[in-house]
Amino acid sequence: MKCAVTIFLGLSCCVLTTQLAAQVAVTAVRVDGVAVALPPVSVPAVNGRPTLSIPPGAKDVEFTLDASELKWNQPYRLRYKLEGVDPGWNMAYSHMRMLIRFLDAGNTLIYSNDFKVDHESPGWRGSVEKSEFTPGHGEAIAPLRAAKVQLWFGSGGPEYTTGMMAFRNVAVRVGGPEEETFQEVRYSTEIGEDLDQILGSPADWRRDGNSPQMAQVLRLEQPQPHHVLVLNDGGPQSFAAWLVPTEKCIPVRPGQRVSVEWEECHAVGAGGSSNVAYHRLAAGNYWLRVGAVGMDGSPVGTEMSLPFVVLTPVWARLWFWLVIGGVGSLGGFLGSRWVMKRRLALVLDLAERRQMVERERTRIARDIHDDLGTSLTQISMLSESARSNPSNPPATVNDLDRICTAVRESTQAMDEIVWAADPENDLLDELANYVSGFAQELLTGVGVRCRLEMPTCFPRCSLSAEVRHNVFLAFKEALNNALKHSQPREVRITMVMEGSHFVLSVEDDGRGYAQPTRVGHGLANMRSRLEKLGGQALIESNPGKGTRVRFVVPLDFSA
Amino acid sequence: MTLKAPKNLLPLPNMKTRVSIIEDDERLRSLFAGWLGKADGLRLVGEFGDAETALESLPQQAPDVVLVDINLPGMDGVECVRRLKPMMPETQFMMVTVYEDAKRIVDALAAGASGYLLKRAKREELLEAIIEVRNGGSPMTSSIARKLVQTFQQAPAVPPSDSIQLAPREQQVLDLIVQGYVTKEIADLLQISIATIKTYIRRIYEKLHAHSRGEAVAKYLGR
Repeated sequence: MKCAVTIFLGLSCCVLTTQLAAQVAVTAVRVDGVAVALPPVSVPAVNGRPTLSIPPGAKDVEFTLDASELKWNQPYRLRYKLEGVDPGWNMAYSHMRMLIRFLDAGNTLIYSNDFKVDHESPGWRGSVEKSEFTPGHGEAIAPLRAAKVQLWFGSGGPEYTTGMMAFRNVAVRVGGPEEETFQEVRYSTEIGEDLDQILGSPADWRRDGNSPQMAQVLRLEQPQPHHVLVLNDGGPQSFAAWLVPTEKCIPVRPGQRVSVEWEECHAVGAGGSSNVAYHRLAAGNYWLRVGAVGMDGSPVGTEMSLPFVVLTPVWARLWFWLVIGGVGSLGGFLGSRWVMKRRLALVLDLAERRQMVERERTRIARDIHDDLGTSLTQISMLSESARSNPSNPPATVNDLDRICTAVRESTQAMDEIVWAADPENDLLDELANYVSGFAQELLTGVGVRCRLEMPTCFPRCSLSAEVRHNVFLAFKEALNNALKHSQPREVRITMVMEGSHFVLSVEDDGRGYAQPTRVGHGLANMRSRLEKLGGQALIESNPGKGTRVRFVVPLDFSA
Repeated sequence: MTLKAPKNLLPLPNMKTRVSIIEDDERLRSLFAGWLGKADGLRLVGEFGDAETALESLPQQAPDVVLVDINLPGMDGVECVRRLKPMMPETQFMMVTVYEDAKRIVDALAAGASGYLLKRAKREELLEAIIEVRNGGSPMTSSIARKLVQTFQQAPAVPPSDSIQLAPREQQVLDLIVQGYVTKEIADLLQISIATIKTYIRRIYEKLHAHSRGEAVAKYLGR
């Protein structure tokens, strides 16, 4: 069963006048991807009568949380909890970053490697002053045309990032692994003007971002007086960074290894708006609580709540069975209700499992028919034509060429079908390998640079044949689109884990387009493949700037 | 200026490269055999339908290159290479596989193979691959490289000796291959010759082989 509910909460109706007024709210609800109307919001939080009903059998309920109206001038982080489901509060996710950026001789940025920080650092104790700093480390290889390396610590990321990150003792080492000499530079946080003021000016660092005043200097007294640089991001639309000014950047040559060490502490979350989703909620009453916390983890502003009910399917309802029972035999036979309910559940369960197996068989059969059947028919016709044409060698050669192509295509198609159906390949890591192998072969074959970015190892997670098949085909479609429509010089394929989601993106440096209509059909295909898995396909494109397609796949680690 | 022939595409003068095939699919075997028979500079010296027969006769034939189907009935191709390689260290083994199954290819490389070839390879690709492997080159793709990185990262089973540690430059080449760089791009980026990169790749394979021997010893010693 599919149904979708999206809820938009009007916030303006409940603006409070005090400084701590809560304007953390649920601004939208979607059920299976479709928006539903939002009832009035209750502030402060109460577990009242449900004002929103979710139809039975809904697969995903997604809430948009929003704190952009929160009147609080310190950094804060959004949190949420679904009573009855979540054992504790969850923090909405975002991250801050350290970048190793490479500039060319004209100081133009040509490449950057990023290192993310999220949640809280292990030594975080509620404020920078109380926290222990932990060492961080990042490495990169200077790309072609690189002339300088520049460090950048910043709070964007996504603009809705909020929170704090503090760092000190930054050292950069540049040198090829086989070079006898290397250069090491420390960027000081102790030299400069007015360093005891938060807006002081360290000589080795410069502020950047749309809200540079959030890049601050902080004097710490322990273990001895010293200064650290802080990104104090309190606004969901703002971001700031500390970066090394270009005149202080270290020269590098392409191919040299750059390694950076630093010490940091952080507590990072999301402000602004953030989406959270719950899958397959059982019938019953629920109460979603949404709030915000400050840097020390204590609540900020007023919490808001949304009580809702997931409706019971009609066959599981008492009155349904009472009516049935009443019609069949008055009174006395109420016991049959229990029996029928049990039997129905069993039958449904069995039917569902049989359906799953059948669906899988149908899928494989369809793939064999679609992908192989056509090519084989074509091969048989072409062979016939070649044989009946012995007096015309050029035509025969042409037929043979086309036979070769068709055979090659069907071998490739069979690889894919066998690969997806083989339980040996059910790990996420195998999917990553297959995707990168396919991309490299295809791109290198047509002379397009192929860049792959992924962790050395993915967490151990089994994927069903359906997930592997859909993700791979969506990926193949995105790659083919890039080659067909964009004329790229380079395609970059990135695979990462974001929380419990696997994110695969295909990014080209080609023409891009203003309206996605030209690839509308392929796009709809990719979307529907990902939606089947409870995931998303996102596409961004700008004329002249290339196209990026992102597939977000939720993973189930319990399997 | 003297003209130099591209060294890695020509066999040694007056010496034909001797090739054997171990492949259970008769059609594919005779197709490959036909291609090899007609090629300049190559000579087919043996055809086998299974690993067991090959184990008996191959060491006396001492071919330069052996094509081994990774998926043989009975003893599989990986095990076959593991047994043959110590008897004939000068011989290069090239695995033949239906699709790029990174896991099994890395197993075969660890057992002593020097390269692999997809069954759907064209005639020229097959011949080029044989000459390439004969001259010390080994192919490597991103997904194979990634498996290698994982293998080398596993805690060493025996006290690490220098011989099985990757040198920094080898590690760097491996990292770049994982990121999708091809040999030509790596050569540009690191300002070294393509031949040098091929040497690094060959050394990485040798260390993988040593690494897995180390593990086998460790298993035997019960550590």
